[in-house]
Amino acid sequence: MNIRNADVARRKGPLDDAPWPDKLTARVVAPGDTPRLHGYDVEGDLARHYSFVETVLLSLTGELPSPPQARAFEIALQFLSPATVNEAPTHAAVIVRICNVLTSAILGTAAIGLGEEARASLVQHEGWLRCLDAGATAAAAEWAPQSQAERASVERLRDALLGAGVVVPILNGNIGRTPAILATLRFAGLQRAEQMEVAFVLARLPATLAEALATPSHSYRDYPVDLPAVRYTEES
Amino acid sequence: MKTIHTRVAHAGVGEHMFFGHQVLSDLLGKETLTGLLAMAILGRRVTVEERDLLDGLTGSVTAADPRIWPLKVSRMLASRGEMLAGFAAGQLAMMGTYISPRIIGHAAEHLGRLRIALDGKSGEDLERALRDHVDANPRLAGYGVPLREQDERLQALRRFMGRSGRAALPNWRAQAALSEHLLREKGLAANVGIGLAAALLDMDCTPTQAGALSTLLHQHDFAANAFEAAQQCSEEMQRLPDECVSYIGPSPRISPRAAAADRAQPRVGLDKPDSATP
Repeated sequence: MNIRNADVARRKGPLDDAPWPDKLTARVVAPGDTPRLHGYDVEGDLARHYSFVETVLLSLTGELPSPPQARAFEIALQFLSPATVNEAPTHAAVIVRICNVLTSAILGTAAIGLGEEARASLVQHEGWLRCLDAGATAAAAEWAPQSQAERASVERLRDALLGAGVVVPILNGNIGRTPAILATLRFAGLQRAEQMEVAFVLARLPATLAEALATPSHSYRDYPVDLPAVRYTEES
Repeated sequence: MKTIHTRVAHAGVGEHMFFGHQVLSDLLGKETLTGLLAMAILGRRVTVEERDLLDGLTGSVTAADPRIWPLKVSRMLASRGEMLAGFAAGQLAMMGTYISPRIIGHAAEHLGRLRIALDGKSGEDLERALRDHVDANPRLAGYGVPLREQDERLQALRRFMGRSGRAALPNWRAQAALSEHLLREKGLAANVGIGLAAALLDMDCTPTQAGALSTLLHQHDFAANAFEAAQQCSEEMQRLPDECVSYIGPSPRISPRAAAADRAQPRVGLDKPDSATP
């Protein structure tokens, strides 16, 4: 380092002069030989007495769920889980797999894609979440199912919940699929949109990754490169 | 299914197109990296003066200290040896609204409105227009300098703009008037963001283009940190010792099911906390 540069580097900057904490703050997981999640011993307690789904719900809410909440959460996740290859997150993960990259890159791509998809969906349903916050007992027309298939899916959700002994009253109304799933997640204890975004991603990540990993890597010539069709133009 | 139209590029036989230019014949050896990056957002070739301006702006915002939050993300995620993982992840920390070049887009939006409001005004009329702008926009992007009194990057950029003869352009003058007003009336200092916004607006960028282009001006900060971290593979970047963590979450507690199982059949050696919360 020359003398002029050394002089500049020796001078303290704003990051050097300001007071900063000297430790990271943990609010959920207490590190150590017997790690605890929101205070519960993971290995000695949760692993013996609770399912993984219940542990996930504990992670997100800070409290252990009741059995109906856990079942509702599990069923909602199952309804969310099928992420098909024609949807961008899975499609993108498949392309990354074709490019013969590290699995961590496929994981990262899938997570970002699903996160963006979940964010957009929650933004689209902000009004519905406000209805739930206000204790709505019925859905307005804008949250009604858009097709018979959607209506049937909500019926299957209601039946699955009933079969598990869970009643989410608002599902008895004329309600679309995503609003119904969001209402179920709310019943399970998720209050905030960001918690629901996480649930969306967690639910869909396994199928997205499975589809990618089932694709042969390096299979460039088997991939429909012009789907959807993209055409070059010089017109603005 | 609709066909998607793109102005970006086409891969051809023997030649490729990029925004209306033949890559190998027209761009190779004639266009710079800065010029190509500008084309990516603006869709047109920039002039030599505009290219020099972008290089100057890039110089002014070069702040690659590894402790800066998004850059630290790059270092941590590259620390297992993969530069691209860190380079990509650091970019995600720029999707926010506080520490991010996206602020440049917001700054350009309000500055563009101010420039129109100030058009042809002077004296008391100009002061009134500035006051109205501040009152209508309680949180002005491009203002506020954390941890120090002045933003040294903006001061350097002001000198650069003066030297390059761009300080008289309308958006730069609008930000200068607003910056002076805010410092005088509210003690609020301008940061380099408003300077970038003004310079890019004077280049005929839209606010959206200004935000996107300013993001590209930071890529070397991320690349440098991701590359070095991937070479170092520092254990401290991969995982800090447990002693570096202060836990403030709930105290140790026993779950209701464990408590019930304990009552039914007490286990020897179960680590019971002082107070159990069912």
